[in-house]
Amino acid sequence: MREIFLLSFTGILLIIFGITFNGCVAIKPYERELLADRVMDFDSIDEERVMERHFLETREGSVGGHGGSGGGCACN
Amino acid sequence: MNRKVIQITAAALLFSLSPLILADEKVSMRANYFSDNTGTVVKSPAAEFVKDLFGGFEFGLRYSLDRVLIPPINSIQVRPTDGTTGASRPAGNADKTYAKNRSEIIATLSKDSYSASYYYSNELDYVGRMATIATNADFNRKNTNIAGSYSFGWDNIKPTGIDTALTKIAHNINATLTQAIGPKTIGRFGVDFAYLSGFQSNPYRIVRMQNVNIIPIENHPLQRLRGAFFAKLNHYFESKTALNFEYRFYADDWAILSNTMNMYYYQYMKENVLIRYRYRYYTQSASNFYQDIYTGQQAFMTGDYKMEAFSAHLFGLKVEYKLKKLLDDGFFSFLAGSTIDAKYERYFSSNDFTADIFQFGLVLNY
Repeated sequence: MREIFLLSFTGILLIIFGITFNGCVAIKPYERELLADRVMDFDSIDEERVMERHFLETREGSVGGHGGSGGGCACN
Repeated sequence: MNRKVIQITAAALLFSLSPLILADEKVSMRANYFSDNTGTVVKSPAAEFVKDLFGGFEFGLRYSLDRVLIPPINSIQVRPTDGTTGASRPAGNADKTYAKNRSEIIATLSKDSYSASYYYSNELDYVGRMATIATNADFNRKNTNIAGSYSFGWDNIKPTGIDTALTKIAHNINATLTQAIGPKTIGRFGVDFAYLSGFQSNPYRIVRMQNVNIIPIENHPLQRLRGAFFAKLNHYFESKTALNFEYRFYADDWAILSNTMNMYYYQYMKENVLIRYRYRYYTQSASNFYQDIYTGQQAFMTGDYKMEAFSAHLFGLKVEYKLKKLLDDGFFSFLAGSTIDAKYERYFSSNDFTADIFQFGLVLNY
């Protein structure tokens, strides 16, 4: 249970971090060419991952850690 | 029931695909082939499309069918993979190969930063359902994105040859932060939690006992709280290469702790050829009720390989070819933005399991 509490705490820290420091880095639109490349997109292989997750969850005791979709590079 | 689901889904796909030919959207088809050292083979064709609708809505539909072949029980030297769900194969006809189909459909409707999806899977002894709502918001001139989702799942299990109906309920929540770190670097961090209640064992799997006259069936706890923290970092190098690095820490109240490291290295060979090398390392501890061999009856007992401590490696290679150059002119020019890809991956673990995974894909961008 200690680990679950740690994970909850990490989640709260994450949200605070995001809200507090989101203005610290500002990449301008014309600097985002490489960030928009498909090899930099966290969601570009989602379809492949769905099939892989299927297999891994029948062999391993862990799940999750895939994350929801979101941009962050002004390319979605 | 299974056949009905397949027919309805196929009809829905055909109906939806026909107007899509003229649309500015995507259709993809994949074929997966999986085989392991227990003799289990899974063949999985899948199709997916995304289409814009009126009023700014977008609709996505994914369908896949698993054809699972599990070898005769007496021939298995290593504990077999559970087919595709925890329901696995029944013990009846133990000297024959067991074949079953599993179909899965995911429908998603989204508008702007909001989406809702429904998942349905069906096989002989297991029906899985999950409804998900998700949202995300941009901040800091789209350099930061915060996303969140909630899913509710309700499954029905009807083991073959056992006169009982079982259920499992699942709640999942997720929070994700995506942050542009520089013109060539982007990061994503997040946490997932899941709470499951209900039947979480394999109804066919027996437990190894010291006293061979007692053959109990596996019995896992009825509640489980699971959590994971993940961090991902993508960096683009000058040499037209990119490295994607992922780390995940997982913990649950059955005392399983795991660490996962996953790396993808991309290399553009030409404008239209992309190669991906991959390595994944996974390690986990055992659950607090796992024993190799039980000496007596206990409240919770397992014969599940997923409950033991082990580590695993996965190596992979994928090649993707953009059809653009090939089809710039002529009759097939409408396929110019499309890609074909092929992938091979090998998975092997310290608990004597190896698997080969092949995948072929065609993505049509209209």
